[in-house]
Amino acid sequence: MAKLVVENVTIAYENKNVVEDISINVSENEVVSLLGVSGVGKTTLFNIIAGLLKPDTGKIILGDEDITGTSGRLSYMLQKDLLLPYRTIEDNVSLPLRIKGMKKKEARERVQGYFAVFGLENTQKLYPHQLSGGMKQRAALLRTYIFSRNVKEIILLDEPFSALDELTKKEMYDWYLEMVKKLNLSTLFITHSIDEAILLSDRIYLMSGVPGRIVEEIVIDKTEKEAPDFELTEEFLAYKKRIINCL
Amino acid sequence: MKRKLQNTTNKLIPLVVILVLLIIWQGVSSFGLIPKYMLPAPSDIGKVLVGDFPLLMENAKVTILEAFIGLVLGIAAGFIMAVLMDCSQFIYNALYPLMVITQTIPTVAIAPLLVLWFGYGIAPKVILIVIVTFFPIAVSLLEGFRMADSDMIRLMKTMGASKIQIFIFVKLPGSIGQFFASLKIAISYAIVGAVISEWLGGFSGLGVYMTKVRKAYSFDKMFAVIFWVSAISLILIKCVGVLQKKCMPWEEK
Repeated sequence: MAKLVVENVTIAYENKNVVEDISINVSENEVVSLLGVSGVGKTTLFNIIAGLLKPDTGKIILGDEDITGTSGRLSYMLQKDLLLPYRTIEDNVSLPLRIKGMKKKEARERVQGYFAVFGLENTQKLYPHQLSGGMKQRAALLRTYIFSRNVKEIILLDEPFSALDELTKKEMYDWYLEMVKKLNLSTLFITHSIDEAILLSDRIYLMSGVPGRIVEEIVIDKTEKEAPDFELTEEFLAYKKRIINCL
Repeated sequence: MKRKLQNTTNKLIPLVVILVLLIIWQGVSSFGLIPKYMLPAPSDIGKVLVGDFPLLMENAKVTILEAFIGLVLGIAAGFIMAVLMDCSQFIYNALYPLMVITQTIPTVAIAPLLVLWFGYGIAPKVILIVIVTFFPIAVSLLEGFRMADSDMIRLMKTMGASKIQIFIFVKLPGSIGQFFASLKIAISYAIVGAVISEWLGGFSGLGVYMTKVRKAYSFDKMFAVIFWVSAISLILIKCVGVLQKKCMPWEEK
């Protein structure tokens, strides 16, 4: 059963549709990508899903609840890590709990167990500037996860790895896929990188045109994806070719 | 090692410049190029500073107390103004010009009026200090609040944060740097404001003492007060710097 359903969503700015009739869904433990060129309306769609914008038409359904235009229901990680520079990593990570009204001490205690799971051992008392780019992204992702645990355990990621160098990116892909398995994460993420979408996703929605529409849905075969050096295989190239043709 | 040497040199340069100026000043005064009653020698001022130290301290206590009360109230007023202007564009449009106008009135012009309205006690002095200190605090804090990362605010909203939570978790701590920068300015304004207000009426304080010695043509004592006022301001600015480091451990890289 689909965990998150976006149903016929349309939004316009100054009487011009930005995204039109978008329908997508994310199921339990599934990684779904929204792939499209810059400016196609991916972030606008994410803002609608996160409840920051209200669509002109259409609905956002989480589980069996209509959450259209309601923020605070889905965890969202943006392109930048957005860690508060004046808070230690543990205080950054426990921020969603503090927003929910939990006392500082209790919130800190509640997040301690996740640092090792996310490969962030001994970083609790450090400040963000003391971490590498990859570690900061992990911390930001942990914060998103902590928030998602409080709601419906679905994560929205807006180009989370775009600011990282190629080697760190590769490392983060492997790490994220491991996290997905370990924590049963359901993820909807935005990317404009075709390789990233193929490597990480179970399904890819291709978004294109003005106004932005879903032009194709591609399912990535699990057995093909789990093959060693998948990105060097013919299957990977076939997916890539198909996506390029569609976009 | 090279960096450490560079740091030491950077700290030494201004001290050397001050020392050279004092030597020139001492020479000009000692050789009678400028009469001593017009420009007392630094050595004479030093003697006064040592000899009158208890008296200067006694007066300094009054001035510092006035400056402290005025500064605390100025910070409170500046903070409230900045919060109100950040919350509402209407309040910003209504108050900002008024705030700028308060800064265009010369303090020496407004001080006698305050004495006339509030007497010779501490009240007019504190009010004058509030007027001169709240402005840098309000402007810097407001700038700090408005510089808050819009993406961070967006993220907080997705987590369901209220306006107050966004203020407490993002805007307020994000403006601490600006606050301390303005506090350094405000603290020196507070001391100078206290001295100016004491010139125009009062029973004790460095400004009152300065007026007395000026009337007695004891210019060496007057210079001693000027030195003392500068020293107090410098010490307080340094204290703010230390406090800033303590309050902003994340800045130490």
